[in-house]
Amino acid sequence: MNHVPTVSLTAGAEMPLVGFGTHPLRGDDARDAVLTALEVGYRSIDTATRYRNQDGVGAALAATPVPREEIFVTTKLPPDAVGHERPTLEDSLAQLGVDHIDLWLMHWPPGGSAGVRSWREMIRAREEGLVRAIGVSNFRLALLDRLEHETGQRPEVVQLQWSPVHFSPRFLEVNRQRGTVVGAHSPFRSARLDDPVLVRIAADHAVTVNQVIVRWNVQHGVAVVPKSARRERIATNLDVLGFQLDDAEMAAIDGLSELE
Amino acid sequence: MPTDIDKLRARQARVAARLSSAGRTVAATRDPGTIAYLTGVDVRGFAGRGAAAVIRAEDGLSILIVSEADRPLVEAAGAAGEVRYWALGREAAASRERELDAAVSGPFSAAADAEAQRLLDLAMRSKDDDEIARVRAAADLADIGYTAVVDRMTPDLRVLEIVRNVDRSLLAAGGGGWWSPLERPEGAGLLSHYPIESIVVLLGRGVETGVLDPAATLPFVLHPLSGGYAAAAGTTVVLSPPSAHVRSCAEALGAAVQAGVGALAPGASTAAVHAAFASALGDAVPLDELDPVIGYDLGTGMGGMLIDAAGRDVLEPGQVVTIRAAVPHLGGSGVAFQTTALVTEAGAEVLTQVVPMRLVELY
Repeated sequence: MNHVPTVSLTAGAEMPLVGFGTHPLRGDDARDAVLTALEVGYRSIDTATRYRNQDGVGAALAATPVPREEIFVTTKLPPDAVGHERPTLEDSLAQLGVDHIDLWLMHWPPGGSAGVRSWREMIRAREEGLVRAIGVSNFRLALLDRLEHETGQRPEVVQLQWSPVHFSPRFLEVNRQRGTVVGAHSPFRSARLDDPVLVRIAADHAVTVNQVIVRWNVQHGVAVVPKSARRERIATNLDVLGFQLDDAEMAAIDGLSELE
Repeated sequence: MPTDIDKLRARQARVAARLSSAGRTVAATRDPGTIAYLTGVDVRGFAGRGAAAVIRAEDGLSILIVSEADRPLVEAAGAAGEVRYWALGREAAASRERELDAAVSGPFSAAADAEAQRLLDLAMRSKDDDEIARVRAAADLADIGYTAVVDRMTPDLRVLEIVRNVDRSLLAAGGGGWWSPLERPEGAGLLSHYPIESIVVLLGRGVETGVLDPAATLPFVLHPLSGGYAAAAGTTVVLSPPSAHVRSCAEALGAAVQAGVGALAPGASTAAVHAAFASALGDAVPLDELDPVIGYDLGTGMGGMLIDAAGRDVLEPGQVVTIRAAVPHLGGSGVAFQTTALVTEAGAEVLTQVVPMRLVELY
């Protein structure tokens, strides 16, 4: 089995760079897909209170022979939980059937704000060992700065919709300098999978375009969470360690960015 | 596996039986929800206003009467029964009246009286398994629509951007249709609706400015359809800290909704549900300051059963009921909470699971 590379988060957790995304799977579909993902080698599972599938993910965690300590579990605090952070975390722990979360993300900026009130509660949860790492999702750089300014604690991970069309070298570099790992959700949904550049590179390596996108993220140090409900694709999306993109290929994919 | 036409025929047969037992030969309606129930066609987005439907007790078959302008939409909907079209242009109004009268073989107004709508409402009240599955799907869409509002909320959003976010999320989830309580006279309350023809509706905004006021409350409600069936859910966002008064009133309103839902059970009267609601409200919000529409039954739109102090209807399993508590002007635009529940053999099951009956504090 290939060993997925990991990245060290600032509070000490080791996060696999390829995880399994579970949105929008629910119930038994979520359980079955997570079990498949763990079976084929994933060791990072990404869920959220909003996905309403933590019970299914929890059922898979209970059923898998893979030890809990080998699985990196991410879930997310919804923005309407301001003032209700602890009960929401307790509900996540109960549904997932775990005594700690490996990474707890603020899912969206509450009302477009930095969510300092929630962030303080997340820091407290990390101090109490209920979560190993904390971060945010769908946040702009200015909001990360705001959290650090208000609390002295910068998010360990910032997850956002990220694919070649969203590539921002500045966002990546600033976060790298400040110790925040960038995470990619929806890596395929937002990509142009028929782009000739991606198709050509995939053909050159005899892999799929999806594998190229996952590999491109890994080489950038971006933690990516591809999702599929089909066993073959679940396995393929993880099978990205047998090839390497060279500098020209990485630059060509970076060049697909459509950001201004 | 029954087809959609089989399911339509089953609904029509229930209505026909109800009409026959009441000694009526025909019933007619202009209510969009009832038209959808009788014909399987949602006329809410139609260009020609004044669509109607007729059902005969003799054979349970329905007739849909719509404008010629909407023929493509009727055909796209796969209407299974008879359809009569009124003409376009100068003759449209007269043509419509002729078609309506012809459909009932007499004066349309006599077939579309209040008693006819009451009988239709009674026939539509209790849901079969297929209908309940559709309501459950609509409730799920309401939850998804709620997250589309809240997760992407920022103070600088335009109202129509909120509408667009909900439309986009629900279309991706397989939904897209809307209904409105304003389709029926008894559905109008004290809080204004904007936009009216939309899945998500912002409440109590007075003169509509199209932009948000971060200092004011932001009550909203979702009215999605799935497979032609309706659900409703609503709550109130605050983008800045609310006053202690607003917060305490909101807590009482949320508790009242929960109490109303808790009182839903087979055999319970609508007056008893109202009493439980009012008791939970206590003195925090005087009843006369409350929007008088605190609940009604749902199906293909708003049903005919109201939750009020004088209500004598008795609940039965398979009914879908929405409970709401709303106060106009409170906190600026008012505070409102609404949820949808299914009456079961044992009590009631809340169908909208994500929308909180409390202030959603986004700041």
